[in-house]
Amino acid sequence: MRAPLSTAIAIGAGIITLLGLFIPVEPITSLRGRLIEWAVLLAGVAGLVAIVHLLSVHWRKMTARRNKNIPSAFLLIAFALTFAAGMVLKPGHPSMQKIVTHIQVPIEASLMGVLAVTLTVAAIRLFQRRSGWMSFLFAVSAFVFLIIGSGLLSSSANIPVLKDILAAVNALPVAGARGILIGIALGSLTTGLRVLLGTDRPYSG
Amino acid sequence: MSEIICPYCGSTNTIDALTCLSCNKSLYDDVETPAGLPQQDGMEWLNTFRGLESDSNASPSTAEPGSESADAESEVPEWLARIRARKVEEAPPPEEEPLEPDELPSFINQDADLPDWIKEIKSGDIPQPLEENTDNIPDWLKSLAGEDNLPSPPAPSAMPGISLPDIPNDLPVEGLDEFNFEALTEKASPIGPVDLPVDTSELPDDLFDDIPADQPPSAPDIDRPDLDWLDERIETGIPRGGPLAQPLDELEWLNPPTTKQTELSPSTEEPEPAEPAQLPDWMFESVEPTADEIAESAKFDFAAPGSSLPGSGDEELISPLQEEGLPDWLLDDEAAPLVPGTEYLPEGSSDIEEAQMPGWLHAMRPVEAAAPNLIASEEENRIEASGPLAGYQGVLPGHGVVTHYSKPPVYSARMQVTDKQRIYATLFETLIADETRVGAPAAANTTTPQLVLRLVVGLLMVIALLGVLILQPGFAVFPTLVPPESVAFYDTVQTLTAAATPPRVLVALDYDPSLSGELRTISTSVLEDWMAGNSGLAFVSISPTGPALAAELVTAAAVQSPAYISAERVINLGYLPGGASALAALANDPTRTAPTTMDGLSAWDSLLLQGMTAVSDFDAILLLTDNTENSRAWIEQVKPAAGNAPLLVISSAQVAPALQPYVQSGQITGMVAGFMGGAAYEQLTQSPSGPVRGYWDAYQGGMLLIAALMFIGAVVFGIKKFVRRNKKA
Amino acid sequence: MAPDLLWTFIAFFLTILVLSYVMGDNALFRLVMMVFVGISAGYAAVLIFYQVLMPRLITPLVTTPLAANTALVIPAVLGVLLLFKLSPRLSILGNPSMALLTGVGAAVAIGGAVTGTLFGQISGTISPFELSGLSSAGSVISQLFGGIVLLAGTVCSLAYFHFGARKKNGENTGSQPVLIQILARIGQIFIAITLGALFAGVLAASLAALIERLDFLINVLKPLIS
Repeated sequence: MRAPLSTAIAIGAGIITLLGLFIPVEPITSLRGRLIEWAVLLAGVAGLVAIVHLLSVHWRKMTARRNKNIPSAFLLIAFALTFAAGMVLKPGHPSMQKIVTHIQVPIEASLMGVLAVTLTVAAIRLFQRRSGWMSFLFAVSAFVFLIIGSGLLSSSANIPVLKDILAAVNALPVAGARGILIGIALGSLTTGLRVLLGTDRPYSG
Repeated sequence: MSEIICPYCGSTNTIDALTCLSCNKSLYDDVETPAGLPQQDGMEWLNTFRGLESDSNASPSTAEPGSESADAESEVPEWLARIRARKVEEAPPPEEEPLEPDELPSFINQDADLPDWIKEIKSGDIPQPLEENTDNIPDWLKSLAGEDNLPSPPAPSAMPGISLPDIPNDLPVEGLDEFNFEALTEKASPIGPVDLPVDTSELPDDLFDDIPADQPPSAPDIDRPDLDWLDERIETGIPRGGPLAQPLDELEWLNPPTTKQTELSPSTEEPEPAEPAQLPDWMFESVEPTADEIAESAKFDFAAPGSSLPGSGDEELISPLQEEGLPDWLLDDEAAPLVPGTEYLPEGSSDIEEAQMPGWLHAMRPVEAAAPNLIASEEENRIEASGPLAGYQGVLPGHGVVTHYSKPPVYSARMQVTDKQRIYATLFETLIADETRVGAPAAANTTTPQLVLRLVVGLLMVIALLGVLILQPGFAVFPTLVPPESVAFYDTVQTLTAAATPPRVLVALDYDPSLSGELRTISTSVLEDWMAGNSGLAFVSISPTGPALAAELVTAAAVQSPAYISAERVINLGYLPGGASALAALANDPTRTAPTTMDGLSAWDSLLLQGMTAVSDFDAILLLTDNTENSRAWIEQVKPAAGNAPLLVISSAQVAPALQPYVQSGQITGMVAGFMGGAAYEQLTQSPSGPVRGYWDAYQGGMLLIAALMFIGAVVFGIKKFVRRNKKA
Repeated sequence: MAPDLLWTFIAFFLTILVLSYVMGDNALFRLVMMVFVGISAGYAAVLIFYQVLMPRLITPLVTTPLAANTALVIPAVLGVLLLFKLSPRLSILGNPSMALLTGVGAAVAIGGAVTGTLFGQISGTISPFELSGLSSAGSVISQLFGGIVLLAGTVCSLAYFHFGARKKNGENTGSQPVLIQILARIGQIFIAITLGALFAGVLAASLAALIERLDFLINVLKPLIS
């Protein structure tokens, strides 16, 4: 058996957590709470590990003998400045919050704005790339929900049947979305069970 | 007609003259000239050989013969003095008949002491007439002979050295008229007689009579210097593994530029390499220049350029297509190796014993070491046209040394490939061509129009939105038909805020900065209502940027609620790592999962959260989200633990369809989704100046513009495709 | 220059630089992206340290006796072991920590999927057929019709994601049963409609973000122009 200790930990922790959810008796419940709490702590450490790994990758790219990636230096400098300021000021400081609201927000929100243009272009070229009744249905659906989402039809309350039509049309995606959600839930269930049964061991890499 | 310039008076004489017509001095009796040169300076000595540009500078002996010779007498070494003495005794009388071009010199008749190959020359075995020999002469040599019709044939790079190897083929016995002697001797004659380092009339005797086969070369015999000098020419003229040890077609770049340019053609048209069997064995007598020679060569001005030339060293004469630089498949061939080396080693290389050069002569003649190969091979092509050396090839250096060193050599970039190699190369080319042919048209067809389209659409949208935002035309009507989930949301908020005790709400802020504009705009009105009811708001987030965005949101909402004391009624529990696990922990025990505030204070001891131990103690859970996954986690993990507390959701428009099933199933009590939901909520609250209202024109106009563009695109491209399909049909 | 104004100008130029991507990729855009990633990582690191590790692990271990916090030793050790994941040679030492994370995560996902989504959505699917509270026949028919559409759509959508093959004599035939094929075809319609609605939603969200950014630019420039 590969990685027996890790497998035992994963299966044991998973079963206790699951039992604590469905069989709320002591000490399983408190043990479940403890395990989840540890998992949250470890998630924090894992986040730090991921950040350090990101930095090491960019450090290697920056100091590579060939094809040096100079922009990686900006990443490292930005990280160092932010980290140093955060360690001194602490994250609750207004200046630290401005790093989010005046640097991250403009960049990410602008990227989202660019996405609007890109998606519009994609919508225009939809029939250039693909054809078929699925594409047609998709395009019609997107067009209809764009119109509905614009609020143009919602401002015509005096049209008699409009409300019912809108309700019916709005109900159509719910069926598909519910199918998708149930499918995702079933997928999560299957994947989780495979981990708990030791069939999948993503931690042993 | 060739002329000979007298070294004493400078007057010109006919080529067959032995004595000067003006001063009546022997034209070839110029032993003093080289003797007069300072021996320690090889450069000046060489300059006399080169016959530099002007006659005045050609050689000191030409400029001031008298004084030079007088001063030089004292510097003449002993061996040279003995040469002179012997020359005086053995020199042919001045009235001796000039040599006929079709007869061999008289010294060749001294059969007894001649080497074998000279005897062969005499007997006419090897030194075939030029007419007969043309088939065996390499093409490059033929081209040299045929250059008389060129406007200005480049003077072959002269260099002292390889005179002896070319004697048999170049003896002016027959067919000599085929050479353009005028062209050759125009350059050679001014320096030929003047710059001889020794008495050339004596040369044959020294050369052919007094070469003892087994005598140590260092023996200071009176004849030894001359022999050494010639031996040294042999030694340095044909380096081992040098030009003659390679196929001669690889040496084409050593030829004068004019001849080489005419031969820049595919490799199959290159002249065939000279067959070793067609060349006399002694031509392969190759001796490498010694290290001393190479060291001495550094003293020369032209040593540097010469040293950089590919032909200046043995190893550099190897074809640039080295085996280690070629791929394996190219080497896997039965073709002849590109660096033949051993194949062309002379079979009879031991016929003539290698001469060894004495040290003093070694020091005198470093030129060969500087660029021996290039110059030697150039020298091979030059034939003396006058004097006793007439007909000998490459005996004397010419000024071509200077002229030709001014130009860098040109490498031949052609490969000699066999059919098999050509097949491989063609196959490889086909593979590459296929790859490029597939990719290029697709890129050309799609990339550029897409960029243009994106640019046009982007500019159109930005300009339209900017115009609407600036002008605020007010063409868009606020929605009157409100979605039921928005109504449920509004009702829940109103119910809770209308209660006697201010509600305490767990606000889960889980949207990224990318959609903060949308969600902040929608949420502001909602938070204002909560603040109006003096609600306690506990913010928590599973997104790292959540706490900062929460602070910004509270600040924005508090502007419209001056009576609301944020410091007391708002608490920021910060960030929870771990996603669904963190939410499960929060649902299990919020006091342990989020024990402190962003400021590091104990959260659950604060006035707002005092007495709370579970999520269900909150009056409501408000989820601000732009992410289906996080929303699902909140609904799955926290909602079951929330008891009767309603779950209200403010979502981005992009997740609204995915959250509708939860709304329909009742897991989400009420939802406000996107600007549409925000507008509906503001419509329900009758807020005259809500944030969504300020963007409503731009939003509705933008949505309709996108729908219109999408419709146009669908129609245009759909019709195009339909027409194309019909055409194909 | 006031700090707020400086921050505003920083946000202004960052917005301009990123929006310039509409004109095409450029070096400044890539530079901004690098800075963005660095700042995000730095902020997240600070947040994890001050919000997670300090109050829940380091401070309790340092300020209180070890006997009172024996339960924290395990996550501390596991956390240290997790750091070995940074080294390719020693990463195996971090496997137990990863195993705990994975096991707990899998159990949490199973519990949430079952209690949160499966039970909830199945209950939501059958809830329209609860007609007891309805007064008029019209509303009953309407709700019933809606419930049938919803149920059919859900089942057909699930059938669309069914990739099992039919077995005949113990061997896969490579084809689905006919009923599944029909349901999957109907489900495809619902999926297409849902994806169209999601696409429209993404467009609406991104348009809202673009509007908000353009409004920000106008608000910055308006005082300067006037």
